[in-house]
Parts: sequence; structure tokens; C-alpha cells
Amino acid sequence: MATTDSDDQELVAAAQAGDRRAFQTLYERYERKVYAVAYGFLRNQEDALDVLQEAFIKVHRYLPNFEGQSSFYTWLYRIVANLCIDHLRRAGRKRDVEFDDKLKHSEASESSAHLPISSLGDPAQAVKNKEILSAVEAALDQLSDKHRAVIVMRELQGMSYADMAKEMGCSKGTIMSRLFHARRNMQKILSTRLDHVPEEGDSSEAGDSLTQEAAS
Amino acid sequence: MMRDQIGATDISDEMLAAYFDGELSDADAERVAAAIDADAELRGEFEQLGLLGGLVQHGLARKANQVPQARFEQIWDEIDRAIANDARTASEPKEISPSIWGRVWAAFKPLRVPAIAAAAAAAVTVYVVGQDDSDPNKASDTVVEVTPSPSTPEPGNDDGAGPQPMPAPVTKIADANPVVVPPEPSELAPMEVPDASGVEIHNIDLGGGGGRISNTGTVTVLYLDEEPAQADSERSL
Repeated sequence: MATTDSDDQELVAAAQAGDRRAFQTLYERYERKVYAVAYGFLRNQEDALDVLQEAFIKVHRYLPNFEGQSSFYTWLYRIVANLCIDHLRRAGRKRDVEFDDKLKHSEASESSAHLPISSLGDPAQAVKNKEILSAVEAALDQLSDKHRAVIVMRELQGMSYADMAKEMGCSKGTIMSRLFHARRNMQKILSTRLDHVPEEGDSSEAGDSLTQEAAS
Repeated sequence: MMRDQIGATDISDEMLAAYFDGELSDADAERVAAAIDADAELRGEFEQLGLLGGLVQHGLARKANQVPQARFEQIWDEIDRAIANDARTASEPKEISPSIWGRVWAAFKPLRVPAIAAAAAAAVTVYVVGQDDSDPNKASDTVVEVTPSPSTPEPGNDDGAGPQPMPAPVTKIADANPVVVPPEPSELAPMEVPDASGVEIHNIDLGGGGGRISNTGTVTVLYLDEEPAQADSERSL
């Protein structure tokens, strides 16, 4: 369903006036997008659904204060990012921190890592290739929480460096550097996984090989 | 980290990413755009950034599409319940919140009794110290009179050779002062006999065998020992 800011504003105004059906329409419009963002941060379905629920409860509570200075989805995504970062801070996943440090300081990370564009074929088709998308999910899994957070905030939410810095409690320079390293790590992992990705028609074999690789 | 030299222009990877994200100033953005046009390698890296962003978006969207719609409906039911609960809570009459002083008073409630007790103790201390310090001579006024106890002379003891009762100091305490000054314990004062027959005990030697009771000529010898069995008195005429 295509959405526009003006549609959102009408629904927001109706919800502010107490129209619960309008609020439900907003929820249905953004449920999967919010879930995708939350899953991008947290990499866990139930945690992502919890954040989805918590975010919309919070949105409803603060809806009377929403003045429309930013678009509804910008406001919503900021709330979601906030909840996800809080969740990650509470969880304190040590594994990812160690992984982050190792990759960040490795020589391989410092050197250029290129996606094998030639093997991916048409970029417009590549983003629809199931095997490629599976590799992307696996690569996101391997990133640290902080690297994944900046990737998701930037690529899915389109947040500015200043907003990301505010959310993560650091400087713009730190965000710039963190995003650079996050992309570099992601490219490196993907280039390793996608070295011999077959065309979409031969995806079953590739799927098996990726599954075996993931299992190993 | 700086990239390799590209002609005469230095474009760092971070700068390229910032250009991709629209975070550069106009001047820097123009410089990077010119470098991208002029350099195929730089252009390739720029395209990679776009491809990576697209892959992440599609990868996560695909993940979201794998969740059954019924699960999202369950989540909505939870949200709806929470909204209804919020509305119910909001419609309930709220208690009048106490003033700031009321809240401060309530916060210090557990400390009230100790604080009052400490204040009272401090007040008493200050009062007593003030009384003592105000006039050094006033302490001697507290005990207003010290007189010996009235000693009854022994009519039958003409020679006066017997042991005379030592005048026991009697302390008269000022009404306002509860301090009691005890008599010197080393000197025994005559003790009044309850039946008021005029008999007085003049001397008791502990652990010995002597004693004298005046004035009717009756002498009672008291044998006192530490043994409880011998603590009984023996009376002779």
C-alpha cells in the first residue's frame, strides 16, 4: 500500500481526535516496516515484535503532543530506534562487541572490500535474489550491534548523521566513522559469501550450499 | 583513512560515504561529484554503496514478510488492550497531588521521631550547659546548706569516754536541683531505732564481738560473721 505524508497526517489527526480505527490503520500501514527496522537492530523475531507493540503504545500515548513538525514515519522510526537501542543496551551482548573489535582493527577491514557486482548481475534484479538476500541477512547477523544499528538507521530509516548521533549518544564524527566501518565489514562478509552466487534460476543449489555453510 | 590519489583530488572513503548520504557541504559535495565523474573506480565504489543499501532494505523487508499476518493482528490486540487500559486509567478521578512541602514532609516522615528526640536532647544540653556556664558561683548556691545531723547526747555516758557519734553530714538539696550529695561512707552515723525508745546503736564492729547499746543499760552483743549460720544475733541481759 502506497502511503504519503498527507495520508498519514489525516490519520494522525483523526487518531488524535480519538478515532481508534484511524490509529489501527496507521498501525497496519507501518507494522511490517517497523518490524523490519526492529528486526534489523535486534535479529530476533519476538524481540522485534515486542518493540513493535511497545512503539505503537508509546506513539498512542504521545500522539496528543505530536505537532507534525516532522513526518509521522520519521517520528515513529525515531521512537522505534530509541526502543531498540535501549533494548540492546539492556541486553549487553558481549559476543557482538568482541566481533566488532576484531573486525574493526583487522587488516582486512582496512583494505577495500568490494561486492562482486559482476557476479550479481543487474542490481535491480540482485535485490530480489533470494540467495543474495539470505546472504545479506547472514551478514547482518555477523555485524556488531552498533554497526548494525547505524546501517539500519541509515539504510532503512534514512536518518541523518546528526539524528543518529543523538540516538546513539555520540558525535557526528563517530557516526561517520562507525557507518564507514559498518559498510566496509558488511561488504567484506557479503563478498565472501557471494563469490559464486548463481543466477536466480539455479537458486536451489545455491540455497543448499548457503544452508550448509550456515550450518557449519 | 585516505584513498589513493585520484588525479589531483583526495577523496577519502568516509567522504565518499558522506557524499552518498547527503551529509557534505555544497562545496565538498561538488568536489566529490567531480571526482566521481572523472574516476571509474570511485564511481564503482559509489555504486556499491547504493547496492548495499538496497540489499539491506530488501533483505529486511523479506524477513518482515515471512511473519504471518495473524501475528501482527495479535500484536494489535495487545496494543488495543493497552490503549483501552490507558483510557480507563485516564478517566478515573485522580488524587490531588500534595504540595511540594507536603511531599517533603512525607519524605522525611521516618526521620521525624529521631529528629524531635535529638532536638529535645540538644535543647536540654544547651539549657544545662547554659546554667553551668552563666555564673561559676552559682554551683555553690545549689547546695544551700550542709549541717551535721542532730546527734542525741547519751545521758548514761557521763564520762564521755565512749565513742562519740560522728556528726554525719546532712545535705540539704536545693529544690531546683535533683543532685544528691551522699554522706562520707567512712564515718558511721547513729541510726534511728524505729520504736523511738531512745536506744541507739553506737558502734558495730564487723567480724568482731563487741558493741554497746545505751541508755537503759541493756547491752546487746552482736556476733557478726560472714557465715550465714552465725548471722543470728544472741541477746544477753
